[in-house]
Amino acid sequence: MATMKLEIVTAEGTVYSGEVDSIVAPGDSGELGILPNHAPLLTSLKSGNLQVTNNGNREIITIGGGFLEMLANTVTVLADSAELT
Amino acid sequence: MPSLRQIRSRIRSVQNTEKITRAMQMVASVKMRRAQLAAMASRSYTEKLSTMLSNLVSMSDGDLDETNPLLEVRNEENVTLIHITPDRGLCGALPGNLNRQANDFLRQSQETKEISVVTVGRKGNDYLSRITKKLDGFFTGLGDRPNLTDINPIAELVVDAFIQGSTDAVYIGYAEFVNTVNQTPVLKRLLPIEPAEISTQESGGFIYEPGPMEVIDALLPRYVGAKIYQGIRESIASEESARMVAMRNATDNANELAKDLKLQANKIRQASITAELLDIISGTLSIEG
Repeated sequence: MATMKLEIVTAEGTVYSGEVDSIVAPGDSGELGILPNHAPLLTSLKSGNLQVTNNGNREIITIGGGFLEMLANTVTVLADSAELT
Repeated sequence: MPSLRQIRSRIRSVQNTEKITRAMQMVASVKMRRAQLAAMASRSYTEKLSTMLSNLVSMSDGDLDETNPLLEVRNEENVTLIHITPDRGLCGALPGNLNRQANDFLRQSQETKEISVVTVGRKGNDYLSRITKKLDGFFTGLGDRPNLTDINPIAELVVDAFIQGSTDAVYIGYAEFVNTVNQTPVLKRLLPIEPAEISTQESGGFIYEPGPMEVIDALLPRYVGAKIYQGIRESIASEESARMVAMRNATDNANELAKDLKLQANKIRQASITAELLDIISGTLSIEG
């Protein structure tokens, strides 16, 4: 199955980095699901939970607003704050 | 010639100083490592943000000037300088170099522009409050590990001033961390924001949620904050590195000095023993004779 690269970066450092199967992000205008090979996308995020699925494992990362960029099968999340829960 | 006792007490005092500088050196080198990592981390965050921004600007066909006040280029009549310096001394020439840069900037542009200053850190504030009267703000006590939220008041201050039109350009001066022994004072323009040239990366065909303008409106203030944050982070890394080097030099110098003093003390000790021996010999000789 196809995967994509996810990187969650805050000003204090990289919080998450790895290959994932899918992402559900708290977009400014609603929840937003992203699968591998999504079209280029840039969106602002509000604070909330970012859900990452990787080989059937679900991980929740709490973020405090920021941006999500999908480009060339790489998702970069620039978060004001982020914490693995 | 100082007496043996005087030299011995000097040796003790030099060795005590050496103990202090050695301890400070070790503290600084631990802090330095952490601060350097943090500076690198914030650098990559700022770079990513700036790539996003230039992609966004390249997409929107150059009609952005009117869309966001933070991009508006005006004639520079009133200028604000954010001067970032350490809070504490004992870090070599770093604060002096930063203050000289700020002073040069003030002198060069004072004739044509009105310059107000926002200082971050006590060293720069002490210096600039003596040479300029237009001090708009003073921030201190950010600590070794400030958060992005800690610098929000600084960002708000300059962004508000810029939007209201009380300043036409904001410059930021800080110590850029190059490596452990090398920190360069740099002065960059913060506002109006000048998006970097379009990267070679293919940037076309982005989908924007909710829309390009909303995204750029949310991105620009964060960009300003990230830039200031990065400047402060770099300054902290520079400060700890400079302190580590300064304290290492001080420790080396103290060792050197203690060595010289010990040599001197031994010479005096030897001379007094020789003199005593001569006394005894001449004494016995006179008894025998």
